[in-house]
Amino acid sequence: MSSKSGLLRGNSLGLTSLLTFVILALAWFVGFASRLFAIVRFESIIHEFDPWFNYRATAHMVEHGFYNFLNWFDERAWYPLGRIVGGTVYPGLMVTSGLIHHVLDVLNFPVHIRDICVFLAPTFSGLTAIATYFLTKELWSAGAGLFATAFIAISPGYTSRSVAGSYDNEGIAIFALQATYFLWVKSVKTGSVMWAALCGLMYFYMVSAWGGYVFIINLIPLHVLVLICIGRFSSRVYTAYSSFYVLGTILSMQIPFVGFQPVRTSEHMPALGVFGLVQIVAAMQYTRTRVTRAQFLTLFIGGLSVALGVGLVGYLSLVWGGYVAPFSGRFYSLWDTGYAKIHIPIIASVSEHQPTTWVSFFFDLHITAAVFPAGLWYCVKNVNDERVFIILYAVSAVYFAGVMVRLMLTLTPVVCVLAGIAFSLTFEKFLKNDDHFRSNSSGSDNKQYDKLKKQKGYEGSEEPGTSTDGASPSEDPIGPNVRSIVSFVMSILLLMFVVHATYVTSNAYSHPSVVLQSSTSNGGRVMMDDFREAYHWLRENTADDARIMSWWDYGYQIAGMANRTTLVDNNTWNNSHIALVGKAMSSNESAAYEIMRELDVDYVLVIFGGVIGYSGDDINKFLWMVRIAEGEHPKEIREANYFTESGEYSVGAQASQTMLNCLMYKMSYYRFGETRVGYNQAAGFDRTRNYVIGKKDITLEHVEEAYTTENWLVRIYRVKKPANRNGVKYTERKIRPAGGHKTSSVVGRNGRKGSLKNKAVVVKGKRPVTA
Amino acid sequence: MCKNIPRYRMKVLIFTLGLLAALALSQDVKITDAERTVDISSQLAKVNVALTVQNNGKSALSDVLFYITTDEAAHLAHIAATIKKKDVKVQPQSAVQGFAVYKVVLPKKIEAGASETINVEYVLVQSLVPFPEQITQEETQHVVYTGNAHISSAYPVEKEKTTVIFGSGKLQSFATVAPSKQLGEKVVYGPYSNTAAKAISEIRVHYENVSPFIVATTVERLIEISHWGNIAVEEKIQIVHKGAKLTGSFSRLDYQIDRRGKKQPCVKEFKTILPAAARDIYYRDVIGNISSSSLKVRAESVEVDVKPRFPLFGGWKTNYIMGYNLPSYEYLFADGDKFVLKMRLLDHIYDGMVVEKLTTKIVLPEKASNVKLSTPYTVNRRPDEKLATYLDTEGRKVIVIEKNSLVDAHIQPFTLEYQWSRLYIWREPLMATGFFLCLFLAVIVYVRFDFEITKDSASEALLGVQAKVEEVEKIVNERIAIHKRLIEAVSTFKGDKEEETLKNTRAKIETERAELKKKMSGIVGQMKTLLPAASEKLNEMEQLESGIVNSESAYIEKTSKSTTKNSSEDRQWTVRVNGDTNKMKDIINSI
Amino acid sequence: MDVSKMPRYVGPVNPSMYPSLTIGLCGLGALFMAWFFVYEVTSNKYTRSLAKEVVVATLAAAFLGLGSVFLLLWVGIYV
Repeated sequence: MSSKSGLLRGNSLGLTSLLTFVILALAWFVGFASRLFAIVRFESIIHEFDPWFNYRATAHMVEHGFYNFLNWFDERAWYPLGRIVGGTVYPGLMVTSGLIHHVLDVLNFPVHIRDICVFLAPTFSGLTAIATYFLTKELWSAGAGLFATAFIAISPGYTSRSVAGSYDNEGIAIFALQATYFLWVKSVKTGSVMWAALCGLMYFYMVSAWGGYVFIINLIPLHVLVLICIGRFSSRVYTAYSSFYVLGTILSMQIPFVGFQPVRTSEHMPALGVFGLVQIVAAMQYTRTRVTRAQFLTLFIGGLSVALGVGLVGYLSLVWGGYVAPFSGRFYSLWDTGYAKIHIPIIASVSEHQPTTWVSFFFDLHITAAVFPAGLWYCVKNVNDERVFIILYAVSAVYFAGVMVRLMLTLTPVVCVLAGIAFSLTFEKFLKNDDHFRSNSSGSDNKQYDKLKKQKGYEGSEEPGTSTDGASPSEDPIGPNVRSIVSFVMSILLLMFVVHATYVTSNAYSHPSVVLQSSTSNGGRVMMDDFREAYHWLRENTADDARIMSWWDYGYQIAGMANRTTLVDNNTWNNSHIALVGKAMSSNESAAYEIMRELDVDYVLVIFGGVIGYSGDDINKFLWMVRIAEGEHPKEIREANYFTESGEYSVGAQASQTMLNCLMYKMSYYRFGETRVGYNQAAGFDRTRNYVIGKKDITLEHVEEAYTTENWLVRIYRVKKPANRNGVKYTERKIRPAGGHKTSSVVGRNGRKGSLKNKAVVVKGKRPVTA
Repeated sequence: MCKNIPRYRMKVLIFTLGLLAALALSQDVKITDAERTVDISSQLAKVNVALTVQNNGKSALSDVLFYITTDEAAHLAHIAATIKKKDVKVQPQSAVQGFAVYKVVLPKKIEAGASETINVEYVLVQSLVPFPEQITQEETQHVVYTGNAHISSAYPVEKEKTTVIFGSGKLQSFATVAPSKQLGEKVVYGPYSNTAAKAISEIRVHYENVSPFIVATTVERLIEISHWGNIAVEEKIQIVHKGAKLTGSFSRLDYQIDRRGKKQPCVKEFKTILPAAARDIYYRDVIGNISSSSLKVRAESVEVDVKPRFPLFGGWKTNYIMGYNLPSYEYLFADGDKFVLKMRLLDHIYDGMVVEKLTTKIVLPEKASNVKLSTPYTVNRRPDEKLATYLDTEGRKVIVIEKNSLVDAHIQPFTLEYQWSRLYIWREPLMATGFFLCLFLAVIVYVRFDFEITKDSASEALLGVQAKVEEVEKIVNERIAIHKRLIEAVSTFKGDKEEETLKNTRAKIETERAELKKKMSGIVGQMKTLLPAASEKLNEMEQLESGIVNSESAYIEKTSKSTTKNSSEDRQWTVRVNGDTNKMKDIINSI
Repeated sequence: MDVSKMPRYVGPVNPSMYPSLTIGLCGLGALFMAWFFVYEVTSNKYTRSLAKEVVVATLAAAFLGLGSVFLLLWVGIYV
């Protein structure tokens, strides 16, 4: 609030700030409360997969201290390789919750670290809302900011990653993202080193929290570049970017996982390039005032081309020399959606890396998706330095969200900001109830107050009738009827957004996925707690150093809940190790046994949903295991072998022999052929795939069933120790002098000559038959 | 002197003396009739011995010795004795060769020649050994009981009989010590007559025992007292199935289609009985709630069907946490500043339970002092601990009690006495208040900080002007009030025509006005330096005010003569005053 | 000392009162807090009066403090 307009209007200032504060607090509260569906329905529990690792790491940090956490070598993951956890995580999340825990502990307020982890994301979503308010306020007005706050607080696109229990980097990273952008916009506006330094610090927090910081370090330079190109370069931009880049880069290099990446990978090079460019442009501006136009042009063209040339050649030679890493596969997969499927199946196998469907735009953003282009248009129409930024942010985020479902998350904030601007402008136009204030130059407060009232209505008690009273039609070309209709429709839209957001949050995004829920025919709730049953069994009833092989999806959960050593986990850093597990799963039992013996596997864990019809089980993921295994072992594993003759993927009678004999199939369906799920179903009917399984009499030779959960969802097999060699009868143990002098060649039972092992055998050439 | 006697002779001497002493003892006291039942149908061996002791000596007998073989003593969890259904004291003594010795202190001495029947009950835990040690899922569990066919007695026994109840399972075999025979679900040894003291002949009973062999290896019971009227109890329990170990695979399918019911060698669930007042019961483990349990509220208790996450087969273990709240009036008694907690040292976990190690911790409220603990049986009291929880400053005192090897019979109350001033209840609200106050004080201090590096004189002046303007506003408001008072005074004067009151009012108003005027002129003077334009406007305002004041007396003169209320002059005057005051307000706003 | 003769100890506040006490006290506290902050925002260094600030802050703190204790009790954290 500027003190000038607030002069002599103390009460209105007080009321405005009180209302703003109340609305922000309410937005925080609503955002927090709407994320608690999972707690109310289930319990205070960590969700899904990655959060379990984050939780485990946090618990480790709380227990052993920060430095031990940084030096943590986790020998319980990636057996036998292990994992250097401290150097391969973004520690921001753990440090944040560890810090909260520590502060509460010092205040003698003991809260279990699990509860802090569970409630961290909802808490931070409130902070995100507030950061969004400030960002939008800088970009447009405080009223638009309040709209944006309300949107981001409940927008399903953001809720999906920040419900209670979803303890993941994104939960705090979106706050850091918005705050960084706010501080950046602020520093561009003011050109003050302080704001730029704060921006650098916030960027540091963002880097410590999420790999998505690369988005910032490319978007901000892009903003600067565009500002230069459209002739909006100023000393403010120069100050802001130079301070931010230098400080931000140096700080970001303090994160062990990032290390020298800011100067050694291609993803960070544009920022460096723009930093150089900014210096040149600033120098140019300085010289322009001091040299003639002709000299300047020569200098400009010559200098710029030399700089660009040197920069490009320098970069290419550094890449060629191996000093700077070329762009990574993940980067290419952002531009070519088919890239990952061919080159990095492990990235493509993750469902959240799939391209986004149109439905999910609507699902995650609802009306804001439809309204934000309007906000974008207003920004383009009334462009200034900082609005260039939001335009670039919007355009790039829309593109990335289209490429990957996961990046919907970065789109949501900008959509909320722009939708806030659009709604605010519309309401400003159609709800202005007093011309007296408009003629007054200090009307911004009143306008804002006006909007606040609407905002409050939108939060709950909407009374469309009151919104138009007192509107004087004298000068305004818009008639009162149009006003009331428009504002009514807008309010209805906002209400629909609230309803949709609540519905989506409660039904789609509030499942822990550790506990399954189904309903009985009479409406009762049935909890299926098979995962925890199995993990707790592993925790209590296996040796402390037992090694458990499972597909990588369950690695973090096994480590977190069962506290046992895993071979592969959700940190998919070693493709060949995962491929080895995939190979074991897709080989026949004896081949798999060899691999498991080599890897010292004690137990194998498979997820099997055939009894209850759970579709996310291992048989449905099996083709990815085959594909990833094929990528590393193309000679042994071929995807085509696992299809039926007509080229389908099936577990039924038509399935190929390779499929029916692979370890995964056998372990999933062991003794399943003897069960009957319903009276009118055949024995061995798989409810997930709606097939009667192809092989019912499965026998296991090298593994034995160790535990199967109540609904057969998790099946654990024990890898047997190698059996004793077959006994040799006493009579056969004697060496018989084989009838005199025939010692040179012993003829085996099948009449073939014996041969020495490893002796080169000449195989007669044969023309290869190509299919 | 001793040096002269060789060592072995010394030993012989001592032995002979001992033997003589024993003989003398046993000759005096005799057991005429002894009946023993050994119930081994559960995982415990519950032994009940009824002895009829006869005093043949010359003097009265004040206590009776009771022997338990060392094999049994290693498993002994609880021993108690009764005489005619009344509890009597049992004291452990130093052991003799092959036996642990307990002394039953008689409440009434047995006179010479008289006799008395004493009932001794004791419970052995983990004395039944599974045989075979490992079974598959399809097999049932068999165990071996090893014991003594005779009553291990310090005195010669005239007549004795032992009955071993092995329950409904199948009897595989039993060692015969004639006369011995199987009678339905029992094996009867004896009657034997005239057995010497300390007679031992080993017996073994091998039989099917399908009762759950679960043992709580550790129980950590935490009792937390809150003087807001609550006692929170939390028990961390580790449970192991110590029956025959499961070998081979566990098949869910076989488990699901198994028709043996309770005879399956596994524990699916058990029943825990909590106090009737228990509320907010939770049952969970390290990784969250265990959803598979149900609650039955009965008149005397709350029953929880504890169902572990997985069925417990032989050798499998699990752990869980169960907690609940109790209202303080159930267990906490108070008299002034003296409080007494009377609660169970150990509570029920399941019927026929065996606890290997119990740790009970009692968290007292902060500042509790003079703690006195009395327990129903000897326990190991560990050093006190400190626990700092919600809204604590120095931490609460924690009493730690440990005991090994407990059974159902150990569910008995302890009493804990402490001093605690009732004023301490205010500590917590005050602390929370203090916290908030600190927060607000920080804000108050913060707004007084000046972070400007350079003084911005313009905005500084502006703030000053703002402050002055607020004062002016106040003055104007007061003046408006005075005008109104005057008008009212005039109108009342019209009614009652009392000159005196009107005069007084006017005089009072005059002095107030003079004061306000003085203040105002001061402000105007200050304003001149701050904002000359504003001071001019203020002067304008002063003129308006003085205009009203000047024409006021004329108005009063005029109106005071008329008696009609709300005359046209009145109305005119009010309009004029209102108009001028509105002008004044406009001036303020314009600044 | 005979325990059975001693009176039983009942907490100073009936647990069924916790919700209403929490809401009432916290609501009042929030009101005073709002007053306090509005005053802090609207006044400047010439118009501010320390006494008023402290009085309002104390009232807000007292109500919020008591209210939050009852909030803790209500949610089952028996302090």
